[in-house]
Amino acid sequence: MILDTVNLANGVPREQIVKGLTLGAGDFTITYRIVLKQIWPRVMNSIRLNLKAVMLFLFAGEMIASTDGLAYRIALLRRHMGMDTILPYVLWVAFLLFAVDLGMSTLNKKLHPWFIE
Amino acid sequence: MSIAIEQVVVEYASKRILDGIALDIAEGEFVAIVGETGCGKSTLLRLILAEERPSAGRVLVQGKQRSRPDRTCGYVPQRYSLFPDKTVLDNVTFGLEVTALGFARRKRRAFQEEALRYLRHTGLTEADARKYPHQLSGGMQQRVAIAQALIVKPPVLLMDEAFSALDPSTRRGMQKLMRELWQESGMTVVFVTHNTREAVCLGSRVVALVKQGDRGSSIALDVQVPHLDFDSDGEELDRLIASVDLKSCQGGRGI
Repeated sequence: MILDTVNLANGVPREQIVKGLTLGAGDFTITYRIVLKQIWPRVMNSIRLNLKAVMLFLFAGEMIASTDGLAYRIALLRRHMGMDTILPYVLWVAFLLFAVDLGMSTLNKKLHPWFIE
Repeated sequence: MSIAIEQVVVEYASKRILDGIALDIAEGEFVAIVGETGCGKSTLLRLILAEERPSAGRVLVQGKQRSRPDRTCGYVPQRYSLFPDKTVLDNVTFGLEVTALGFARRKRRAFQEEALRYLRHTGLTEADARKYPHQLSGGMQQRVAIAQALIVKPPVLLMDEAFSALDPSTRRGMQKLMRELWQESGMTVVFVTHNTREAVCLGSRVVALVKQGDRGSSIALDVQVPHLDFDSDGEELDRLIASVDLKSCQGGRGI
């Protein structure tokens, strides 16, 4: 994520930074009002794309070392082959992830109407 | 505000780009720098902007050497001239807001009115002011870029092939607008272009850079150009364009 953000910041055209300087902006203003504002929708997209990896690690952690949580319950029920409970749990997790992704995508569009992917 | 370029040499990794460029630009001049692609026109502009430092020599703006770009020189590049995340109005007020220190919110209304005045002057409407840059055509975007640069009243305006991405008719309109704005404001303008016609039409002085092989580019031509009416002085314009024939400048002979 950090590397992604650094890459995105480096991708802001040099002309924009120079333009900011010629309009009287200082380093702080250039960082926050020009660079961060421009890369923020892409950072949000990057968070969205990394959600699956985040959830994978969270579930793996819960299955290995937790005593609570959805993944812990799935792991527990797997031993008793409780598929009637496991499948709704998996569907619920998939729905949650889909909802978070849709929510972030909608929020991104709402907050950054100028952004074209 | 005058600009003095004193025996400037620019080298990148032992490759010489500019070779001993010396140029004095008086206050209120409109200097068009013309030359073929890769001859160092934009490098020269970046030196005046203080975005780049020369390998030798120095560049003075009103007698001062600058270490980084500042409000002394306004800048209109060919591309990426507007902030995509801001509306047209916010793009134009940006320069006023960033220097207003803490009073920006209270002065916002006044800034917006000032910005709208500049936008109207460059031929844009209030409806255009609410749009984002990607919703405008290339010509309209460059109009906004000019308004954005002019609103902070820079003594020097630097334009780097600002109209080269525009279609011929929009380009002609922008040239007329630029000439009018220069005549009204009396600021110093340095306009880089590879189009000789544009240089002759716009500039009060035309400077041609010509590549001299491995020695880098040098000034091969420096002429004052009479003010011409774009539409009626066709023959005179053609004669002037012919006199700024870059090929005849090869070898530094000049005209």
